[in-house]
Amino acid sequence: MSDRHRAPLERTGMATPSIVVSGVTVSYADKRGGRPACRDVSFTAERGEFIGIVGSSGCGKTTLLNAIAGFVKPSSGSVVVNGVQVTRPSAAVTMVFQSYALFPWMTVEKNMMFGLRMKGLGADEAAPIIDKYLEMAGLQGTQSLYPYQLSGGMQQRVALARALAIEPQIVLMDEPFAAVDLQTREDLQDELGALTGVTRQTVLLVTHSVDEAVYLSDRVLVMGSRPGRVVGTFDVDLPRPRRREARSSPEFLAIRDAVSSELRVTATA
Amino acid sequence: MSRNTGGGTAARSTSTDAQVAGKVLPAGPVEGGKARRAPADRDDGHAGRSDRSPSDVVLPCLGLAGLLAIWALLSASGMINELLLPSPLAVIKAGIDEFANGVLVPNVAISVKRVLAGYVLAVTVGVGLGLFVGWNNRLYKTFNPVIEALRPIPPIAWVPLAILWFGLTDRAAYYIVFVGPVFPIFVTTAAAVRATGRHYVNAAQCLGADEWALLTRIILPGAMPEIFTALRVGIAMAWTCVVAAELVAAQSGLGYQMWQSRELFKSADVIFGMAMIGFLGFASNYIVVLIERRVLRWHRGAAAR
Repeated sequence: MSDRHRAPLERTGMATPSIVVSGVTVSYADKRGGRPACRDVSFTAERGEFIGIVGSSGCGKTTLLNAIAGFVKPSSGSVVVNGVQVTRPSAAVTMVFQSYALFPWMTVEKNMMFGLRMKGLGADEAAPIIDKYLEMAGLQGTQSLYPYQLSGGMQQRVALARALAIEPQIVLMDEPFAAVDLQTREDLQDELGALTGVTRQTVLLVTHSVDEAVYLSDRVLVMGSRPGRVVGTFDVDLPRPRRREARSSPEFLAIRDAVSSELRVTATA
Repeated sequence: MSRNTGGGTAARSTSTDAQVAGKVLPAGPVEGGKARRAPADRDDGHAGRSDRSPSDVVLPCLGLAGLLAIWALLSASGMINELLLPSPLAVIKAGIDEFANGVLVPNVAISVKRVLAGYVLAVTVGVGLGLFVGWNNRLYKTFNPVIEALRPIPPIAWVPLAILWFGLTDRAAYYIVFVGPVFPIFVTTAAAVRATGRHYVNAAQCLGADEWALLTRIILPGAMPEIFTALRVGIAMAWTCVVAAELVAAQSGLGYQMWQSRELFKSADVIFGMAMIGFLGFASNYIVVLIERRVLRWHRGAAAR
């Protein structure tokens, strides 16, 4: 896997921002009380930017991602992706789920093939792409295995490779590593960093882990709860590519502590 | 970057529809809930038989032998009139005679044909309609009351109407065989579709799936485990229905032959007919199970995890 890193220039000088979230409020009709899950959330993501979103449980992070993906309709506000308003789910904005959501009735290869076929690619055209992404994710030789035959970490790698293979403009990740053990989690974080460094997609990563958010992101948004809203933004000006040692550098720790204390303040407020 | 990539068994499959093509799993006796056993294709492939003990073969044989023994003893003891309960040997002889006279094979063939026609129609309509009705909330709200109103009517209660509509023809039999299994298959399919995991649908949508792809490649395969349960219930019902149809609404087939034998007081032939139907029902269920094992290879493994 290449260690080529995300060029900082990618983030500047682009005319249209990748994602513009403006004043998004989501209320679930079926929940009593009518308090919105997230209220008046606004932010912009530049093309190729990696944004981490942290916040305590129930702060509407997942709801926000679902609105950006088009799974739920905001009660007010709008989500614009590359200049086009999001009204329903599409392959332009793809999501990597905490539960992987691999199709259990398809082999790894068929899972990878699914999105490519939906793009109109034939089996011959898809095969080299599948091989390339499986190799990038370190999954060579798993093509004909079913998801149940893989470990949790490997399943999440497949889910990641499946999402990236269709070359979406934006990748949303909802707690993608919450279900794997710590060691695997750190491996996957490094792989994700390297992968998206190559593919240069815009990434929104929702996570409980401040450490993970700071390690991977260009910018970290802190969300407060009830209703969910953005209460703080932190730029992460650590050089890329980041290596594990960076986690103990004073700069990293300073940002991590700042984000953590913001999180604590909002949690107790 | 080096990582463990799991079992080295994978070979690139070139066919795009090779999903169900794979090694055929070792077949074993299947009764009801035992159909899903441990994955046989995991890692080394020895697991298929190692979880079966000799008692899986011996005990069923013992049970059947016991039934035959009690039957033989009862008829030999003279406690029951031989005209009412002939001995097992007499029944076997009756079967051989039927075969020799050339009545058995055509009657079996025609009953099998009726079961096949009615069942295939029921599966097509039940799964097809269940898929659409389960997927579309409006269709569901419209159709569900209709189905619930018709469903409690036993298949046999359709016999008079079927005769009125189609006369004593094959079509009447097809209809009765159709009307039995179609309801459980439809209801189960619709319920399974409605229960499809939201995250599979979401994942497919953000991989670019349109409605048709969702329905055929996500919803349908996801509902397959439940559908196959209904297909097994359905094939047994199809045999029940074909006999009901042939007793009244047909001039041929195993059921008709049994009815004729009754009128001639040939009780051995009646019992032989029953045994034939039992055997054919068992065999057709087994065929459904074999198909299920192939189609649901992924599910057997996933369920055992």
